[in-house]
This record gives sequence, C-alpha cells and structure tokens, in this order.
Amino acid sequence: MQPNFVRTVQFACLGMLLTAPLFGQGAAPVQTDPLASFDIPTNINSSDFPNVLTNFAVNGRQQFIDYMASTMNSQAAFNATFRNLLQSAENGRVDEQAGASATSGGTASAAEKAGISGLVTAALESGALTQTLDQNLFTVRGNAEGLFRFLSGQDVIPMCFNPTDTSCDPSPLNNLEFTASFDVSKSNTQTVSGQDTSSGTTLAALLTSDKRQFSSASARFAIINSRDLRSKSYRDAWSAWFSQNYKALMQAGSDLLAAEDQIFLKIQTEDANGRAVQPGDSQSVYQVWLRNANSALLAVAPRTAGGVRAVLKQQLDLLIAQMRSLHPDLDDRVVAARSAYSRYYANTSAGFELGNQPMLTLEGSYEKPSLQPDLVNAKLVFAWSPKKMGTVNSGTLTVNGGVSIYTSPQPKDTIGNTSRWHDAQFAIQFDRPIDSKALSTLTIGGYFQYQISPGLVNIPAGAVSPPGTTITLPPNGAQILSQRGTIAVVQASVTLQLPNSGIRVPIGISWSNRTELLTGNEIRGHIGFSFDTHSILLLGKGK
Amino acid sequence: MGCKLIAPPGSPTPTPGPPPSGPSTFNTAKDSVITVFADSNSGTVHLVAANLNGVAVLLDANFKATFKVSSGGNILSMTFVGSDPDEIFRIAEDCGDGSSSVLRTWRLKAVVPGGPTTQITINAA
Repeated sequence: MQPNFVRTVQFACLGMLLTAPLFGQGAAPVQTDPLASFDIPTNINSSDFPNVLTNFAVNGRQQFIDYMASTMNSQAAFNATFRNLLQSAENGRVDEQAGASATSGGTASAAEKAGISGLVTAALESGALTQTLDQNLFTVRGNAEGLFRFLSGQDVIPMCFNPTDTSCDPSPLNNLEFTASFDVSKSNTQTVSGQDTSSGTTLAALLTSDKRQFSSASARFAIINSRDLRSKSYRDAWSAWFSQNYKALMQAGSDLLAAEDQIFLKIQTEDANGRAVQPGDSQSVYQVWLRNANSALLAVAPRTAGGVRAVLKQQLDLLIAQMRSLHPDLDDRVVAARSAYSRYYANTSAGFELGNQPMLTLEGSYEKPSLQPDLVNAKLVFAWSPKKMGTVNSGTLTVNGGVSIYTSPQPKDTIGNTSRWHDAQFAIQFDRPIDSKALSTLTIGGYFQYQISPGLVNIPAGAVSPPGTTITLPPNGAQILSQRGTIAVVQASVTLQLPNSGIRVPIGISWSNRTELLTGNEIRGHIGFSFDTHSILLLGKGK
Repeated sequence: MGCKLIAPPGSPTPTPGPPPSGPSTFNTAKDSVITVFADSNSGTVHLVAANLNGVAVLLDANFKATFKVSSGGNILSMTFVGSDPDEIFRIAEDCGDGSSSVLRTWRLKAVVPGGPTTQITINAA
C-alpha cells in the first residue's frame, strides 16, 4: 500500500474524530429495550423471584410506566426519564483514569484524569504518545480504602442499618490510589541518533528495548474529590441545597404520586367487573393478574433471561390491555405521569449536579522508561465540567501540569555538565459522552512537553550500528544525547463501554511533532482495554 | 407507644445491602395512627410526599408522615429524594419514645427493585 494513501487515511480518521462532537450531541437515543430497567438477568436469581419483577406497584412504578409508554408509541416523550439518567450515572463517569500516563510507552489518553478508582482497575494499552519506543503496558490501579476493606474481609461498598454507625463513612484512604505499570510487550527495535556524551561524536544506533519489565509506579491523592457521591463534602452540599429547595421537591414529589396513583390505584381497588374492593384485595385486578403472572413466570423452564423476558412482556401486555379497558384515557394518564416525573427529575437533578464539582488530584510517580534513566514525576491534575449537567457528564475538561526529574544527575551536554531536570509537561483534554448513556465517549487532547535537558539513551547490550553504516558505538552503559526540543501531541479517541460491566475499550489516534528521542512527525494508533471492578460491585454482583 | 406495623409471618426480612429487600405488606389494628419516615446512613434521604389510598398525607418538619389507617386495606405510596441514587436506605416506622422499626429497604435508582416512588400495603383489622 502506498505510504501517501496510508497517511491520507490516517488524517481522514483523525479529522472524523475531531469533528464528531459536532454531530454527536443530538437528541437522546430511543431506549431499545423497554424492559431493560427490570434488570431481568439479575432478578431471575433473586430470592423474591418472580414477585420482584411482577409486583411493579412496589418494586418499579416508573419502570412500568416507561414500559407502558413504549407500548403507546410515544417513546420520544420518555427519553429523558429518571431511569435513563440514573442508569447513565453509573456508566457516565468520564473522569476516572484507568490506564498509564501520557509519558509512558503505551497509553490511550493525552492527559491523566483526576478521578480515583473505587477498588481495582486494570488496563492494557498499546501505543506511546511521547516515547520513541512503543510498548504494551498493563496498568493496575487500586484504591487504598477499597483494597483495605477487600483484604480485611469487609464490604467494599459498606452499608449500615444503624444511622449512628460511622464505619460506613469513607475515610481519607478513599482518596488515595496506587498504580503500577508493567511492559508486557515483546522487545522493540528502533534506530536512534544523537551525540556521545563523552566525545560529542554524532552517531546512530539500532537499539532493542528491554522486554517484560516494570515501567512505573505512582501514588495519587484526590485533594478535592467532590464527585464522589459518598464524600462528606458532596453530602453537605446536597443537604444545604435540600434545605433551600425542599418545598419545591415536596410539591414535585406530591404531583408525581398523584399522577402515579391515577394509574395504579384503580387496578388495586377494583375487580375485573369494575366493582370496588378493598385496596390490595385479593380479587382486585392487580392481585389477580399478579397471581397469574407469577404462575406463568414460575413455569418458565429453564429459567433464562430470554425466556423470562418473553413471558413477562406477554403478561405485562395482558394487564395493560385490561387497564386500557378500565381507563379509556390511560394514555393521557401515562403522559401526565411522565410530565410529573419530568418535574420531579428537573428538581432532583439540580442536587445531583452538586456532585460534578471541580476535582484536584496530586500524583507522584517513579518511572522507568525503556533504555532511559529513571525519573520521578510530580503532577497536578484538575478536572472541571464546564457545562451545567445532570448525573451524566456532558463533558469534562482535564488539565495536567507537572515536572519530571532524574533520580540522579545526568549529562545535559557533551562538556560534562549535569542536571536532574528532565522536562515540564502540560496537557489538556476534553472527554464527552457521545450518547445519553455514555456508552461511547469522545476524547480530544493535547500534550506539550518542554525538555529542559536533552533526552538520554542508555546504550544497551546488543546495540548495533544501523545497517549500511560503519559507526563505532560507545560501550554498553554509555549514553547518547538526543536533540532537545518541545514535544507537541494532539490526540483523538473514542472509548466504547459495555454497560454495567466495568469494561471500556479506548481506540485512538495521535499526531506528534517528534518523540522523546527522535525528531520528525509521528502518527500513531492507540488501543486499550480496561476493567473496573467497582462497576460490578455497584450492581451487587460481588462482595 | 410501641411499633404498630407487623409483617405477616413468612415475610422477607430486610437486609442492609443491595438489592432492596423486606416486606411490602403489613398488618395492624384498625384506627392505628402510624408514623413512617426515611432513614439513611448518609442522612440525606427524605420522604417528600406520601398518599394514603390516593389522599395526600401531611408531612411534619422532620419529613415524617403520620396517618390513621382505616379498617381493611390501606395503600401508602411514597416519594423520596436523596443525594445518592445507589444508597440503600430504610423505610421505617417511628414507634415513639425514640425507637423505630425498619419496614423495608429501598433505593432511588430506577432499576427494579428501586425508584423514586414505592408503596406498602397496610391491612388493618
């Protein structure tokens, strides 16, 4: 394939990613599965099955109203329901860092995000932004409090019955995260040129990177972490907001109940012939249907999500048909309930927005870049959501600033001067969910690195002169000074998420004016895979 | 005063962690005056509206609903607000003298079982 053609395709991909935000913020997509919020795969294993699914007057009033709305073909009116928005809250965080830092040999993001993991996050990423040698990095992140609770046999997400029990409150350890990255790639070969630090001779060498080695370790502490819904600062802010708005919330809550009762009360206080019965009477339309629906669901064998879903849908449709005969104006009642729900949501969402305050995280890391001297890096990470939001981040702006120093003085020229300073970095990134449930997120970022000292390459064992040259290389352990300069990188990526699984796959492309050791433009692809255990715990699938 | 809402024998017992659990039907004596409220570890969950058989129940300054049940079935529907949709909170009866009894647990997150509203049935005889 022609190199120019490849480059054209690469730029076309970059352009498409950069312009995607212009097209990605349309109306929220229609819910494809109207029974999704019944969470059938989980509830078929409930000790309360099948009642947990059928007794919607108790277990899921809004979920049933949503389903009714889907049957009356007015789904558009329900796009912004509380259910959609709250489900998205779990998936919608775009502020959590999963993989390695931008200065590593394999990364999927130009800037480090400010969010701290809940328990353990693992990520495998390929493709360097600034490093000359590409690596595949496996990164593990662990929350100090989550790990302590897990290892000591406590609930990772604790819940207490006794309101005076403070053991459920997050400790300062909740804001502390540890990270380790390992290079799991095969060795990589690259031609590097520069000056011999002792003689000043210009030379080039064909270098082969180390393989399967430790890459970096870091500790991160969230100085301001108000996006944690369990944090005291968020709860305090929410309580202050509630005390100012409780009257409006009570009105919205009352309107919602009144609208719902218009749908639910009649079937619980009348029998099939329209005669009044005691609320909850066993002959009420609802109780008779409940018994029949439970029998039908218990007869599903084997009890699979698909089988239960089909029977549940059939039973719900039977009840809705009966409700339509009881309520000729059922559709109007559903629309009224939707309207009340919207007002309730509009009132409550303002409180959830308090969770989207700026975040500030301090990070210290020890880095062991391939074929280069070891580094210590200090970085401040700031995250801010610039637009008024609900529980789904419509966008988060992340800014990084940091410096890197060598762990020991290193040559900075060919006349014997040394320095500990390596570089100063600045990165900016914007993450924005493309869809309403944040199942895909677009990221655009820029990274700038001012090299205070020239890059250094440690000549490894086995280094040879490039083919066709007769350059005599300095001995193993000697160093080559690369050309000093500023590194600029722009990156665009899309992160795909498997809902409620904790699995995310970032795919991106970057352009840089140079790399740490080599001048000249580079276009690189980046791909990764990350798994966040916290998402699984929130679903109640783990301890 | 003592607690007045009694779960029928064989009812599920509320447990602290997800998913929400506990009975949704209770027995009591007719004409009992009952007080129900939301209780949470975060302290942010509040009962903001309650209807008894479709009729609004007034809440006091502590967001507690007090009502008198009629003979027969009584459906108490409730709306809650809170700071964290995932938090498992308690729907409790105020039994007086500073004591309370957990009726069932609930969450605001609108995934079955959960949501901003729910109901319990109180059979009074």
